[in-house]
This record gives sequence, C-alpha cells and structure tokens, in this order.
Amino acid sequence: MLHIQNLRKTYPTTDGEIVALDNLSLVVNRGDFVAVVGRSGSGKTTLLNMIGGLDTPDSGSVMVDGIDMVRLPPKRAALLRRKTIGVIYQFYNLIPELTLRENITLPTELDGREIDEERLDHILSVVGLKGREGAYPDALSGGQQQRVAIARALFGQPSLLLADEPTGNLDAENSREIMRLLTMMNQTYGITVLMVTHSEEAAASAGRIITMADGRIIDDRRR
Amino acid sequence: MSPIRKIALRRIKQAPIKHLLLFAAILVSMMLISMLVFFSAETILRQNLAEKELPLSSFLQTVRLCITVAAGFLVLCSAIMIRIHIGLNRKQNEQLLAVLTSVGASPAQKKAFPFTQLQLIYAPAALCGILPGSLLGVTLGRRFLGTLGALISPAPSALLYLGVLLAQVIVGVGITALCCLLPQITFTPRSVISALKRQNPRAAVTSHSYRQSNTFKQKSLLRRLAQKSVDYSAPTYHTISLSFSISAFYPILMLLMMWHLLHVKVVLDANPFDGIETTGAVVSAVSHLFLCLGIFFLLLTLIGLASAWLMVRLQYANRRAAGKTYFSIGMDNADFRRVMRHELQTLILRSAIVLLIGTMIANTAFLMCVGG
Repeated sequence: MLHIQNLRKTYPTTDGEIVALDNLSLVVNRGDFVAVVGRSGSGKTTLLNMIGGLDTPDSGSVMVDGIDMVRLPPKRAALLRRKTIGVIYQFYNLIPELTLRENITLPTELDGREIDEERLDHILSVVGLKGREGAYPDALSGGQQQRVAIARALFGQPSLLLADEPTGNLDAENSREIMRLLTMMNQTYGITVLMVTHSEEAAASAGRIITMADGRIIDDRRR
Repeated sequence: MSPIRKIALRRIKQAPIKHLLLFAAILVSMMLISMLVFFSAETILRQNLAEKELPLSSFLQTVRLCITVAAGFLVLCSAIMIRIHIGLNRKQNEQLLAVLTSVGASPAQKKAFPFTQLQLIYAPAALCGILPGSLLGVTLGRRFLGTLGALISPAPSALLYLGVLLAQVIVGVGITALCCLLPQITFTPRSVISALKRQNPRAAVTSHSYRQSNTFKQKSLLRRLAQKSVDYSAPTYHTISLSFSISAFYPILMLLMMWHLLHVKVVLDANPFDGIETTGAVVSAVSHLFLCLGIFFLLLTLIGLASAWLMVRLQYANRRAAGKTYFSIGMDNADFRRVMRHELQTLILRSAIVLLIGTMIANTAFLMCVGG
C-alpha cells in the first residue's frame, strides 16, 4: 500500500538546517493500522504531510498504491488525494460555511460524482450524527466535529487514512469514541490507517507502533 | 450549485455589511473614475479644432491634466482598498484553500474561489459603476464646454463613445480582477500546512521578533506593551491605518485639484477676446464638476471611514479579549486602558504619516502636470 524510501526533508533556519526526516524508509501493508509516536519535532507530522502530498521532500520517494506522490503533477496528486487518501486533523479542518452534510460530501462533489444518499445515511449512522445533517460546524462539539471529519474521510472510500493527532483536542470519552471509529474503519472497511499521536492510549489501538526521533524510525513493533 | 460557489455566497450572507461596503466602495470609485475619463473624452472629442491655439484650449488642457492625475490616484486608492479587503480575509481564505487541498481539490478548483468572489462582488460593482459614471461624465463635459462658451463640434460617431466605454470596462474590470485575484492565487505549500495547523505564519514571525534597542528599553512598561501589541498585530494595524489614510485622502485630493484648477486664471485673463474675464468664470465653469466630485469624494470618505470603523471595532474586541491575560497577572483596568490608548496613538500617528506622504506625492503630481 505504502512504500517510503530514503525520504529526506530539511528546513533552513537562521541557526542552520533542521533535519525533519533523515533518509527514512517505511513499508505499510494494505489493511494495517499503524500508530506513529515520538516527541514533538521528531518528524511525525512532516512524514504525514509527505504521504498526503502536501509537502515535498528534498529526496526520496513516497509510493501510494504504486504511484510516486513526490513526482506527481499537482492535478494528479489532487486526484489521488480525493480518491485514495482520507485525512483527519487535530483541529478537524471543516469548512465553517458548509453544513455537516455538505462537508461530508465535499470530496465527492469536487469529483463531480453523484451523492449516494444511502451510503451517506449509513455513514451518518455509523458516526452517530444522523438527524444533524443541516447543522453548521460551529454548532457542534469538538468530538462531533471530529466525527464529521471522519465521516468525510470515510465517505470518499479511501484505501489509506492519514490521521494527525485525531484525539489531540478531545477529552477522554470523545477520544475513545474516535479511536473506536478509526478501528472500525480499519477492521470493517479494510482501510489502511496511519495515525500520528502523542497518546499512549490511542496508540494502543494500533496493530503496529512506530517510534520516531530526530527524523528517523528508532523502533517498529507489531502487537 | 458547486460547493465553492456555496461557500462564497454564505460568506457574503455571514458578513453583509462588510461586503456591502466593499461593493459600494468599488461602485462609487468606478463611477467616479468613469466620470472623469468620459469628461476628458467629451472635452477632447467635442472641442472645436479652430480654438486649438487660443488660451481657452490651454485651460481645457489643464483641466484634463488635473482630472487625469485625480483619476490615477483614484485607481491607486481603489486597488489598495480591494487589497485591504482581501488581506482582511487572508487567514480565512488560506484555511479554506488548505482544507480544499487536503480533500483533493484540483488547482483549478482552488482558483475557482477567488474567481467566484470576483463574479459575485467585484466585477458587478465595477460594471454597475462604469455606465452611469460615463453618462454623467459626458453630461458634465458638455455643460463645461457650454459654460466656457467654447465652439462645440458636432457629436462624433456613437461608435467612438462605445469604444471608449469598452476600453473603460476592460481596464476597470481588469484592474479590479488583478487586485482581487493576484493576492489569492499565490499560496505556497508551506502556507497550506501552516493553515491546516491553524498557525498564522505572519503572526508567528512578528510574535517571535523582539526589540532590544535602548530607546525601546527606556520606554515605560505600558508603552512597551502597546508597542509589542502593535508589532504582534502588525497586519491588522497596517490595514486600519491605511484604510483611515485613504478615507481622509479623498477630500484632500479634491481640495488639491480645486486649488490647482483655480490657479490657472492667469491664462484665461491673458486674452480678453475669449470672453472669460475673471476667476469667477472659471469657478462657474467647473462648479458642476466640483459639485459632482464633492458628492463622490464624500461618499468614498464615508464608506472608507465605515470600513475602517468596522476593523477598529473588531480589533478592539480582540484586544478586550486579550486583556483577560493582563488582568489575570494583576494589571488593573486603568493601566490596560492606557495600553489601548498608546496603541490608538500609534495608529493615528501612522495614519497621519501615510496621509502626509500621500498628500505630498499628490501635490507634486499636480504641480508637475499642471505647472506650478
């Protein structure tokens, strides 16, 4: 599903160069649930941005389903993001001007496809937001907004889900609910999940835990 | 309806006053610019060539030059005003484009957002202003030539007017489009990631910069806090002071134009056979033009002040909210008010400096074109 080879990324600063990713290589198989843990500044989010095609490395390759994200022109990278990759962020990143329903169907609408109402109903039930389709994000709690973000990722039927601190802004109860949903996405729909987290409890839901430090993988454990 | 269009429409609904003010500002600016262009065109097209060498011609030429200078400054002010408006929504737009990127919007779909804004607000406002402005310009031009007693040539072909109108539409909408689109289609991948993390890169830079000059250290604590706050919210304070300066610049531009036009009486007095004897005749000739200009400049000033006031209120609310931090560490309300007063003083000082520089440049431009 995901083949990363010799990925290197540096950021210039006034004090010299910061190595965010140091020749990192990683293979994630289809259907895996991987948690990436490590201290702040270890390169976890940079790795996620590279996989999502939001940032470009200095060298190396990121193959998603056999396609190199690094060398993909912007238009094709956008298409791949829309069809293959779902992304969830710590701060939900919903569009405040769109209702819950419109936020969920946004990637499909951008793709110019018809909305499958049955599937939308099913996903709303799964995330426990049925009956709130017309609400705007600011009328929802943090946990509910994160569930909308999950529903948006799920509705696009991605084969890879990238989650950047999905429980970082939530209380314990909501965090457990979000982790339950992510596990369900992985086990029921077979979606490969790569999650960056600081939470040990969240990482415990994953089948594989990768620890990063100074832009390198220092530990890779399967449970 | 496409999601991008939906977002643009809902933004207008969410902040109707802000968008209404912007629409009015572009409409009045375009109307005024169009009026000045057509006034000049009418006086050129209808002036009899037999009078080409007479002092009257020289006066007409001076009026046209004055108008060209004023129109140039108006175009510049309108461009800055649109840029200010885009700047106000920059963070919001960056976040929107970042989310669109993360959910797989293509580059073309991301560019559709500023284009939709252009379609919904900027272009209609520009177009609505051009036609009435051009009619008013032609009417004023004829009245002006009539008052001066100039020999009027027969009306040129309507096609010629249509050509000028078309050029005006292309230039007007073109400039509006450039001002609207350019700042919005230049987002970098770094800004996408920053926006997704809800971090404003510009604010981050200013918040990390710190002053260590002796002059700064010798200031009172409250002044230093005010200075820090102004540094931290630099883009907002720049925008507000620029907005105030532009609002105050309109009447100054009008006064400068009047001043320079009323000082060309010498040329007219030089030839008694023109039938124009005194400054009074000049005043009567340009009175209608000045009346219209006065109304337009007043409108622009009021619109500009209203926009600036909206921004000040927003910033005041933000500062009141930030005040909780000061109160929590034991600062009393009176001291916090002093900090705010210092910030206001900085704002007024900046606005005055910008206004002074703008006035000097405008005056030099008038002197160069009209001849001092």
